[in-house]
Amino acid sequence: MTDGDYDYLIKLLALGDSGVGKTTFLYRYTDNKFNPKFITTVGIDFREKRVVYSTNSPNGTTGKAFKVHLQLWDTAGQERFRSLTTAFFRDAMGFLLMFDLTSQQSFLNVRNWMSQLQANAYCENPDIVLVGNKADLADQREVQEKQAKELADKYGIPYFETSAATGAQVDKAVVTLLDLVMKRMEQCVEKPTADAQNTDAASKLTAAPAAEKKCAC
Amino acid sequence: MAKKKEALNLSFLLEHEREMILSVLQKDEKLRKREEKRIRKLKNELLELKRGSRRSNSEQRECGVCLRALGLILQRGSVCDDCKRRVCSFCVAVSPNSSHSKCTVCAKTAELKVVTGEWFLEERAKRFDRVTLPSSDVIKQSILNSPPESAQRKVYQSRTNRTGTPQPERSPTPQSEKSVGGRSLGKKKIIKSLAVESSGRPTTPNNMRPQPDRLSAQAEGRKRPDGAESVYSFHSSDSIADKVCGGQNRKDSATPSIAVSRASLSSDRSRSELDLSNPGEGFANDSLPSRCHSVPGLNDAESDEDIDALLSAHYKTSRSVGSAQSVSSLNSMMSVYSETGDYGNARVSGEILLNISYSYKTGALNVLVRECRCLATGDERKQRTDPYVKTYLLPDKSRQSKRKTSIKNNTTNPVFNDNLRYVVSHSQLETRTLQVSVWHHDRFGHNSFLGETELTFDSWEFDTQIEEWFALQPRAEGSVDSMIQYKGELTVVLKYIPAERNLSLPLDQIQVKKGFLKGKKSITLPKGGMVELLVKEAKNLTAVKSGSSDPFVKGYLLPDDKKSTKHKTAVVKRSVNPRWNHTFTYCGLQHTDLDSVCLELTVWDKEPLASNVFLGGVRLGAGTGLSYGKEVDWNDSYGEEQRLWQRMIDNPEVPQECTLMLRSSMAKRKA
Repeated sequence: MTDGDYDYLIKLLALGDSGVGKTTFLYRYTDNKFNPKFITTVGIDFREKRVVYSTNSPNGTTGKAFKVHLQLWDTAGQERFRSLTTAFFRDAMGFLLMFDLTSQQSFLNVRNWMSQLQANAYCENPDIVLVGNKADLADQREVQEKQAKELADKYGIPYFETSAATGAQVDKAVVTLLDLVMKRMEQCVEKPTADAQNTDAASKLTAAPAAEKKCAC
Repeated sequence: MAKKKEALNLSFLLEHEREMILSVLQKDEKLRKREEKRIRKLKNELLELKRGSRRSNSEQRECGVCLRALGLILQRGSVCDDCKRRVCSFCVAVSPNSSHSKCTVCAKTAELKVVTGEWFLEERAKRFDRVTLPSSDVIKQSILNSPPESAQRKVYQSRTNRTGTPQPERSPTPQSEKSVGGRSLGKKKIIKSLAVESSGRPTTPNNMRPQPDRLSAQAEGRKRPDGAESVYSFHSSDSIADKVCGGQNRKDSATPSIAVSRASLSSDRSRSELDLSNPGEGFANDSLPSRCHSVPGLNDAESDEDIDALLSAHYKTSRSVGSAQSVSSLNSMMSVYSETGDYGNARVSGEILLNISYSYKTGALNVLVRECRCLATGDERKQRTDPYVKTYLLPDKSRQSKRKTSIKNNTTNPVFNDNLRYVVSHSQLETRTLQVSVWHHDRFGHNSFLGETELTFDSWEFDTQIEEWFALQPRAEGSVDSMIQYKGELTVVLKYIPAERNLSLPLDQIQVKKGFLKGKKSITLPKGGMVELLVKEAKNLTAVKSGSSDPFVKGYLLPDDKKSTKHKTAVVKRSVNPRWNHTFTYCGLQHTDLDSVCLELTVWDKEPLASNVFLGGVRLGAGTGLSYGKEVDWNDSYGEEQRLWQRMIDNPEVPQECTLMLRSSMAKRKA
């Protein structure tokens, strides 16, 4: 893990209310283990994981595989660390916005977190995945899937119900976010080319999706 | 300046929290270092590729990359979308969407932008154009700058945390600040009403999992059973966290009088150094003591802009492609050059013919600057170009590494045939980069930059000769590791003799240990302990003249920067591996002083007729950043320097030998 033998360094960040399970979620993702104890994160922490990411070329076949080094920032949900944690928003390329499915309040706060992100992330509409955690605690559930899904749709972001305890959907959520970031990265580099020659008929095809894409550049 | 604006007030952090956060930040710094190294490697590859390619336009019937001739009908090649050069079919990169064609150079440049994460920095720059520091550094700075809370408040804070009541002075939900842009616009109202609703309620209560667990976890403190990496790094002995908390503990101790080295010789302060600071720069910080005149690095742009330079290195890969570049990075690179130059205006064109050879026998790198052709015009108004060529053997950007050719009058195709010579071992050379820049000499105004090229030697067969045309590039790569360049190492032996022991020692025994060259020191022994420093030897110092230097070591016991604590060794003639075996003795040091003083050792090359040349230095101390309760920038020892000092304190009367890496600059380390 300590060598520099990777193709990309991607920095993701988990945020959300205190106690929604950001740390355990990341621990599950990186080490595939579960720690049921609640240990409040002091300010900020991060974990790392090396993954292989393969692109899909247009004709459907699997393209090149890249080694991606993930730096997963874990932030304290506690209010008193807020100024510190938001300072880290601008260094992250993608975000795991988490709430607790057994806590209506944590879900309501998603909107606040969202505006925090929009104000402090590297651009106004960064790549975000909404994550409802603790899906295993079905009997204590306070947030319905439909509710959360609607909110995610409103923001135009993917939604996953995960469980750090069982590991369900944890990988899926992170991989989806990684995918979004990698796509944006390509767009950001491709676009200047498309702008440069919009007289060309062929480039119009590439310019069209560029107009609706999320990148604010 | 930007640093100050970004700083946060983090004084609410408890001491153990500060430690934990700092250890995480340190872990992050390690990761970023590794990333920088990776990026540097990638950039070298691009440079390699660019080196081969030429500047030409689409009218020319030759490939812009490999110079293969192109036909009018057959073998026409295709035009690169990015650089508009016509390239042959071998030099077109295969891109996934066939509508684009790019030459290999542009493809590689684009690829680099992705893999180095530069795309991200560019995106972010559109939003926060003032962001220059990674947040980790901002936070670190903020933490180190803000004192922790008093004990009373601590108790209160930790209690409130435990019971989960909201902090009275803060609103419990994330502040919905002015919502910016796109998606949020329509929801502004909702957000507002929500914020009101939720702010009436405590933060945490119902979103916790088992409550008792939480309590016990709190009690457990930082023992984290999940085995997070940060726990391990926390224990590493050189963590800044230790340093900081150490500093805090000592802060309250009463300020003893500065009792240092009464037994020392005075000698003239060498006039050496003044010229090292750039005349145009001005002193950035007036509050610095006069000492800064004597130590290079404090004044020059490095201290303020090193982070800038590091960061801007990220931005620089694609300058030649014409993407938006931050002006600040240009400015920060100016400090490399001794004269202020004008980079902005002159267009860059043309190429330079260099003949490069290395002689094992003499250990000399010969850079024969033959000629340039098609240079840009240096002075557009007068339509005049008086070119000369300047080289540096990076990462050394000092005067010692600068070479210049003669100035040719009014020509854009100058023929120089000037040989620029460097004496450097081949193993050293492998780590160096030759930076060749062309300048227009303006007798009255600023010299203007006409282009440059960089060559690395890591893959070069030293016994072969290169004679090649190199395309001139706009201002490019800043060497990322300029701050951590290798300047050689210094071996010292430190010993602390506490007051009790000191008095019981027979007088002559102490006398013997003082430098024999300057043995006639005062015999009246002051009270207090004594620090003995044996300056043993140095290795691999920078050679200033024809393969060697005349090095000596100068020592001050800060905060006293006057003659009273100044010691010098003898000059060892013509050696880059000198052995001095010279002892500096500092008396009157109480145990409590040891955290507040710092032994600054600098190595110099003695120049009989000119200013002495700075070769490197170390600072031995506790690295607390404090001196008798005051914040100081020189108590910044770290790593081995700091450990050695600690070992000395922990093992009184036991000599502690240590070999230290020389710092390349005595500027404040970037915190």
